[in-house]
Amino acid sequence: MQINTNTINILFNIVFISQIILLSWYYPNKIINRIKKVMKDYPPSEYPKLYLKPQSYYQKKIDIFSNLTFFGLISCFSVVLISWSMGNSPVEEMLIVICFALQIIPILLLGITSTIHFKNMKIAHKTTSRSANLQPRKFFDFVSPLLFSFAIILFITFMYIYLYTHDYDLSKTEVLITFIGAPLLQFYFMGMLIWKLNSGKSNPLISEADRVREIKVVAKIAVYASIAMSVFLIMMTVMDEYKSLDALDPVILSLYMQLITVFGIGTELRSVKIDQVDFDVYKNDEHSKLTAV
Amino acid sequence: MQITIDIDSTTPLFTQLIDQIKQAVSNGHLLPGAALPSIRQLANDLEINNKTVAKAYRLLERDSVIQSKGYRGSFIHPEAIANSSVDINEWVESTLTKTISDFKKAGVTDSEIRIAFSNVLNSNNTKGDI
Repeated sequence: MQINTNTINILFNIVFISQIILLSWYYPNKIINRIKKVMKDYPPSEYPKLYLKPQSYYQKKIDIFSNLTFFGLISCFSVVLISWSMGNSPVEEMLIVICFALQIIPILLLGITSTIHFKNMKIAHKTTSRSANLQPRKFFDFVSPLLFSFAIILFITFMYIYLYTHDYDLSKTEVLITFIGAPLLQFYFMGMLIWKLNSGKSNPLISEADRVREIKVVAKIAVYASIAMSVFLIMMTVMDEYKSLDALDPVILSLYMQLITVFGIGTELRSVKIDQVDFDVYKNDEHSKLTAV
Repeated sequence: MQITIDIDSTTPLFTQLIDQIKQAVSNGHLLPGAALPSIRQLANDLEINNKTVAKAYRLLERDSVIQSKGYRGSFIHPEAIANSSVDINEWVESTLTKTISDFKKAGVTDSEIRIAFSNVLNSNNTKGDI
């Protein structure tokens, strides 16, 4: 099967522009609007425990996030322009990965900022009394057994297809690396989930219901990420077999990046609705008591 | 069911854990057969050492308030409700009070009691009885 280079270029440009819109515009805007909504609806006067610094400090962080995202957007559009100027030349896969990194770095930095915020929150609201729920957190209370089985079956399918297409020849370094590396990545996802089940609270003030919801989201993301990885690897293995489809690699890679973003950030934004979060835990104790009365 | 500990309290942390789990059993908040969190989960949630929770679980198991089922975890013992009301420390204290008053009636001095008590305790520890 032979695909026209022009068709592939058009297809790539459509898919890559979709990556730019999704990662540098749609999700960053959703995140910024979410933070702004929290700051507006739950102000420091009523929810002092939520803030450790004046609101202007958080506004500055939002601005930095916004600027970094814009830088990612401009850089990625430059790649599209370069691709157009090169006419029929295929875009290097490495360039797509670099673009993805530029797009995802602001989101990762935001994650690090919130981890630091929770750590400082822990120090600021240190108490001598500590509480815990006596309900055990079991793996399958948080992960759907059906989804988990599906992830395992997909992974086994990938391993089978990969080894079959490489004649079960583990003496080749590339095959051996995949044979060891792919299961290790799967163990990483599972390890991350088990760690989350047993770890303490990252946010010291979070309510028990919100914490359970947070673990469920992490569990869902870990299983989705495993499924996305298996699907991507199966597609790449099949395409490697049909050399004429090799030119589609950048398209598949960009689609994979978008898929893990939708599964990761998308799942988190969809599953944790601001209105469902218990913000009363951030009120002053006297204020909470008055509200309870 | 929530438990709360005070890390500044003069009561040891493992005793606070034992007391609250026994209280939860007596009040019916924890029913026989109910599963308990793993040692690591509870220790991380309370931000205390794993060994403290392990000690509390070990003593609760000794008192037949909980039972360990290997890799499946720890569960509330079927006889936990009755066993939760038994205070082993109270029993030790009352038995010792009775024994010491018998010694005193026989004219044994405080220092003789102390020496004999520590000798017996040491010899039992050497034999590995405790």
